Amino acid sequence: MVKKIKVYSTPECPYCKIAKKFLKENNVEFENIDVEKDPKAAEEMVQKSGQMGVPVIDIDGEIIVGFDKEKLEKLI
Amino acid sequence: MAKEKVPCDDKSYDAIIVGGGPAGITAAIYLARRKLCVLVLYEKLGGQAALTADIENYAGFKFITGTDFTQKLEEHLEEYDITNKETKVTEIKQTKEGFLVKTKEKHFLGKTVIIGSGARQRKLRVPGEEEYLNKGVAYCATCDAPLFRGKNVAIIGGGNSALEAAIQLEKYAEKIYIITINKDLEGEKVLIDKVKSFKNSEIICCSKTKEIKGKVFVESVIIEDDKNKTKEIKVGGVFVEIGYIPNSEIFKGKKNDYKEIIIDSKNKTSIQGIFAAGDVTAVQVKQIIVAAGEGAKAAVSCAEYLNRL
Repeated sequence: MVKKIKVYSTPECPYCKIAKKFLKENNVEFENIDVEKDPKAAEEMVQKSGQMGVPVIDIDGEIIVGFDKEKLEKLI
Repeated sequence: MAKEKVPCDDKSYDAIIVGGGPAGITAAIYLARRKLCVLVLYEKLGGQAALTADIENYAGFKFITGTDFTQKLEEHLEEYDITNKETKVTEIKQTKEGFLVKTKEKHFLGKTVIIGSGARQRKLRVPGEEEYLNKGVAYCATCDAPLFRGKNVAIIGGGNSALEAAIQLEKYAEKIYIITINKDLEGEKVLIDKVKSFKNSEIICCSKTKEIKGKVFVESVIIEDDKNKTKEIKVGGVFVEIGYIPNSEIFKGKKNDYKEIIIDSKNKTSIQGIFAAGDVTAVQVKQIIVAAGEGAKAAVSCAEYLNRL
């Protein structure tokens, strides 16, 4: 089953770019949510992760804060 | 350009470069162009440059983002037959033949070592800093500024990094307090003038940060001025921008009081065969362009040393 992946990010955040590059390289489809443009999504991200740092990656409800390569590899 | 293979003795590299920032990559390219066998070990490609928002003072690039700059470093590195690995170096041990460079997974032998391991952001070490990390306490304005829309924020520090953080936050924050222990802001005048022109910024001088308080998220910061008067400022965010600590723990030779590696004008350290470049050294200017130049110098010195072995 294809997992639903959301990446909450900001445009200039290096770790967001690294995380998205990593997903692309692994041929994983994801929805990029730019919390700079979408304040509501920003609130949603804070609520989901209990913190304010980007990126936050939501994989079928499992939340990864930051670019955690090991965790990402396990969950994708 | 087709990559030209460098005959490499797997048992021992000519040079092992620690660090993948501008210093390390430049050194690697210079050595590879001399057909030397090079291994680069890095924790993060691009180093601190990768975390920089905009680069506007590297000659030849009027403007480039840190991410794009890092991409260019990577592409340039890939032009050459250079072995590179993402890993953390834990120890450098001197042996009869040269140096044993240890990582968690593996050990590598090198005739020489160039340390370009850069620096990391300094922490405040006050109560609340760890507890509220990512809950209002942030170290990367480039990344997190949009999350502080409509909030009051404090930036701790008064140098270029603090000024750049203020520039990132201006668009989003309701009010920016820049709290510095010094009498005035320090750094590039272009940046100081820009920050002073912001309607939503207030500079608080001569004050130490004592504590970060909150409930779930940060709610205030406690500061103390030079007359020992304390004050609580209501903020939803605290950006810590108080400078850097060199990543010099792996080097056992001579360092200064700031733990920076002492080098001579040819980037030699106090240990023969180990060279150093960039922000990890006592070189005064911590800038990308300087680190790159220092990396080139270290590589040339290193090659001269190898010739004489």
